[in-house]
Amino acid sequence: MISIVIVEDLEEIRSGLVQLLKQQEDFLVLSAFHDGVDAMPEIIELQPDIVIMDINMPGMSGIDCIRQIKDHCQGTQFMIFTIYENDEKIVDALAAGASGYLLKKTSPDKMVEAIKELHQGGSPMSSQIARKVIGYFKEAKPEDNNQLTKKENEILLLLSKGFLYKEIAGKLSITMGTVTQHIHHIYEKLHVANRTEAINKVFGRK
Amino acid sequence: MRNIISVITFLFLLFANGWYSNAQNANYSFTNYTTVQGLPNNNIASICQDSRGFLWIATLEGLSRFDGKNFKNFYAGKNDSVVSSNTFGMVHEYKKGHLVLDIVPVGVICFNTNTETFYKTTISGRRDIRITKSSHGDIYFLAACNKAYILNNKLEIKDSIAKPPNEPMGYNLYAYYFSDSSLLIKSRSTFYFYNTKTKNYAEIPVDFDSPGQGSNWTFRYLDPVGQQLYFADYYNGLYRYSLKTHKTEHLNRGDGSGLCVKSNIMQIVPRENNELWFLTNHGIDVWNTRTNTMSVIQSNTSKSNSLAYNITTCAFTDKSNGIWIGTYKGLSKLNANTLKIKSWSDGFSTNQDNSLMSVVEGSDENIYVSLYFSKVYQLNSTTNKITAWQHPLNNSTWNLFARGDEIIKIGSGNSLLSYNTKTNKFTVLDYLKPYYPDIDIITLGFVHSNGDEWYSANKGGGFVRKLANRNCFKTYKTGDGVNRFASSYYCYYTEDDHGDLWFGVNKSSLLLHWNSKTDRFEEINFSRTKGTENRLLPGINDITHDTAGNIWVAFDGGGLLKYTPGNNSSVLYSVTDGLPATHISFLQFDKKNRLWLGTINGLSCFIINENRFENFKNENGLPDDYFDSYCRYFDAKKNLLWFGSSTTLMSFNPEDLLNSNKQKFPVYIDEIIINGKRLSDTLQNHLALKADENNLLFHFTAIDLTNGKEIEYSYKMEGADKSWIYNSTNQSASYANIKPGTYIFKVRARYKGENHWIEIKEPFEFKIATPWSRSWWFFLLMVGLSGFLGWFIIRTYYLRRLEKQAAIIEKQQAISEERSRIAADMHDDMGAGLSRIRYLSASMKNEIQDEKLKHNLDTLISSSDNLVDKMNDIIWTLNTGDESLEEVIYYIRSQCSEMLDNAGVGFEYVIPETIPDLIISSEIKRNLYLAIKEATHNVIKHAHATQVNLLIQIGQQITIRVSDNGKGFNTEELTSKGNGLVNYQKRMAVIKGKVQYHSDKAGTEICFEVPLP
Repeated sequence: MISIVIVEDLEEIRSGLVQLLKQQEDFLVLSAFHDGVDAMPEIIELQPDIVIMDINMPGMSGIDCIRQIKDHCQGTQFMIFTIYENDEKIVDALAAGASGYLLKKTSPDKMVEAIKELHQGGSPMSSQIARKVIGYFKEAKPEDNNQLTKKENEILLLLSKGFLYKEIAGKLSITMGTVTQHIHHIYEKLHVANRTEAINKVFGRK
Repeated sequence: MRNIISVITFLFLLFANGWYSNAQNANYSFTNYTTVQGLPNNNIASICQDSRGFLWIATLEGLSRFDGKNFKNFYAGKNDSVVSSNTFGMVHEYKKGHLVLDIVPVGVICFNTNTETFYKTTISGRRDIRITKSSHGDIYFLAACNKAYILNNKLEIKDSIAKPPNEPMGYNLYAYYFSDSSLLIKSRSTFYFYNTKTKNYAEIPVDFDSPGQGSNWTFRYLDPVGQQLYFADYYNGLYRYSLKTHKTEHLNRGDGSGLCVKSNIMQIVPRENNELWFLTNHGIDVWNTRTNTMSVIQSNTSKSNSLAYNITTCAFTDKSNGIWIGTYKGLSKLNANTLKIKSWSDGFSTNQDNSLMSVVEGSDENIYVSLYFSKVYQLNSTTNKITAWQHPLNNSTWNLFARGDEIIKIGSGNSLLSYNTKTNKFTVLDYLKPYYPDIDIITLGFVHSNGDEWYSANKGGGFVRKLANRNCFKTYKTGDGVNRFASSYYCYYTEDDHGDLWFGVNKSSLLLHWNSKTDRFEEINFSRTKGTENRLLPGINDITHDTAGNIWVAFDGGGLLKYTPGNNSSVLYSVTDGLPATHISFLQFDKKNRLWLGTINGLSCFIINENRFENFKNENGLPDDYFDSYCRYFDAKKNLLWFGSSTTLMSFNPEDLLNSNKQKFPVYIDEIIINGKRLSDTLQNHLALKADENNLLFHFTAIDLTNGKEIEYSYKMEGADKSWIYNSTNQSASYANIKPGTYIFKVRARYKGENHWIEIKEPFEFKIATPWSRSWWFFLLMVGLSGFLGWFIIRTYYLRRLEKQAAIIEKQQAISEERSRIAADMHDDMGAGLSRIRYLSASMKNEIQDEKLKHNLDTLISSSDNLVDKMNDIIWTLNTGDESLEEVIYYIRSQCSEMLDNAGVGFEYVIPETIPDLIISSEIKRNLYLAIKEATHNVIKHAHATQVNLLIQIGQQITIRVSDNGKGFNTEELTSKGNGLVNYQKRMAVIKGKVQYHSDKAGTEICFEVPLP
């Protein structure tokens, strides 16, 4: 059972998402919020498995929420809920601690799939974005690459060359799921080591 | 016994009267100054003179400074904090250029005569300052309650004197300098001697006639010779204390001393001739201490040269020994007899109708004077006594003439009265009776140098000539067949060096000439002589001649005329030539060819050699300056001129009068005004001025308190004027726009008509700086500046270019930022809206059964998704701006891959291993990407292909080939649909690329080529 909390300010979308996820047997929607500020203490208390966090919220932005409560919810994974794939905020959110993202236009099955994948340790996102995120982390502390495993470095390289997950999977003869998992690990490692600086860099750039 | 007493009383009274009759001493004449002449107020309180020579006058309404001609007045300013009242009580110079003043009721303040400002000192606010003269300068005392202060010469309190021990508290103590070791001190109403060393008081004993006296005592005068102190009491008169006898006398009527001095004695002034002058409320009492006689100088409203007013307040003797008297109604200056003129007015019982008419000298050296239609008097040259002839015919005198030992009087009808100076006997001569039977009066009589006697009488009397030493007479009358005279009688004559006679009369302007050779008369009409053509002249008042043969004529309102018989020409002199008036009453030459004229406006001396007139009036010391008769005589032996005015006979040596003007007076620059502002310190005579301070106005003055004679000025600015500029009596000079340089301004003055200039001792030197626009350092500065300017311009140009480039970059950055902003604003809202539509549609779809509706909702959903996609693309192009070629290629490929993957179409790609490090513009990026995306989209939609190949090649340009194995298309189809190829061409055109395509049934190949930067 995957416990989920939804934070989304637009009512139609929130209720739609809630409806959708409630229909899934494996999912348990713990709570839904329309405001990040209200959500944060509850999330810490509820300690859900997954939080679907809208980026574009009035008041406190989704990114800030993630940043603030990430440490208090070690076991929680944050998923960014966004409209555009090319939104720069995605990269910021991922650098802030989110592990994946969902497009609002995604079809319901794909959505469910992505959530399940994230829960299994993957990083469902486009390789473009993954490349970018990792690129930020690399800038921050290049020597941390050494802490990555050989496979992870390989994937990293291919990713930097612009290969899609599918293509990387083909090239390395692994499944796509494995690819995303590796990428997830890469994040984790880089997150821990570089988050502060990365955030600074990212937000400094802004 | 009673008779004797009465006789004695009578004599006594006679004597007393006699003394009193001497009281009206007309020998003093004054020049008076009032507000008319420029005084600020006529009530004079105090007078002093400063070290420069100016006379300072404290009046009821202002402080005044007099230089002999002009008054300059100073008042307290409107909101002056120093001076709150204009009632000045006392003025005195306490240090050079500074005055100490007493203002009623404020107290002591000071005045700086240079900056012309008032200022306070430590003792300001105190009143009752007293200044006395000691052997070593002025001593200042300040009266105070229960004490007196001694001040130093800076007007600071140096020492204080305590009140006498017996005296009650609460009264002011007044101190006066007595000697180096003692002071005279008044406490309440008692006077003491105060020993400054022992600080002991010794009272001055006073014996008062009656109680209550002495309460208003004031110390007035110390007579150091007689060792006497004079005290004045307002009600009781004068008291005198003798230091020898220690006794006090009350000099009052009935005292037997003959003095009668009462009323308020403001001041006692010692004068020469053992005189003491008392300034009182009824004039000035003059007491001759030697002869013990009293006289009084009083104001006389009918005489403008008498004392200004009887209430006198103060007197001052200036450095030239001039006496100034202040009164309630003006300032009087005693006209000093510096001209050494002897005069007599007493002894002639003159009144308005009987003024002095003629004067002759007898062989006995006595002077004989006749009064108009009145008596003849003898002035005894030794005794100076004036006695009238005692003879019944001594009345109605017209004129006198001397004949040998006789003095002959004409005027008593046709008789002549002769007085023999040797025998003192009178004889009546009637030999003219047969020739003048009907006349009223003989108007002229004189003796010709050849001994003939000439007479003229009125009523057609013509002339009668008695030949010398014979009893033979000749007559000349109008209508005798030979002669016709313009006037029936003549009064005035002169005999020239040829023996010719010239006659004139007040009735006519014609001059009658008797030719001694031809014994003929002719008349000279000046309106026909050369030089006075068409001149209408009034009557003749006197005639004389000079040694050059010229005849001089005095006109009664026409001026002075010089007639040259030789060429029948004449010259007329008038006021413009320097005459004091055109009403001339007499003419008299002295030994040195100087013609003296008596006019109704003073005595004038025409110095013919220098062609100038020197004039004398009351102010110069002339006893009287109104001459309306021809009372004149020159004693060549003694070099004495005798003139008679209406009331006074005067005699003097002409040299004395003319030399009296050789006085020196100081000349000062009074004010310097620079650019309209008065220079406050005119004492500094080296001044450095700025270039724009070049408009200077100088006011200057000479200080001459003695004469009242007109002073004329001339000035010169060394450095600007080539020569002295004559300024007449004008006292200012101005210069405008003086160029830079060094200058000295000099001024000189002299009495009008004199030759001798007196120059200013300290001329004013000043410098006008060159304006900075002309100096050397300015030039250097300009050179430096222009060099700097040149460098600056070039540098700025470079910087500007850099700036422009930076600006361009910034602008581009701004544009891209703006894009991002627009994108951000836009896409969030729009995206949110689209998402809502989508979700609503999705949830609606769950709730309806109608398939058609469901289908429509699906369309909604997919439309919304498409829009989100498009916006996503826009965001991509906007957000990243210029991007690296590598990024663009990866993105294009990944987008194509996803699209084809979603559509289920196979995708193969070939991209170069290494992509060059190039930045391509967002324009290229956008257009290229969108073109390829559209191509891919078209393949998915229309081509029905199963495989798409993407080939990217990079060289000078980037080539991207999209090929599919679909069914192809034909050109018409595509263009008619209005998309596809046209769009590709458009996009390529924007980025200067080209597109080629090839399509057949086996598939389609579209090739894009874009040049790379």
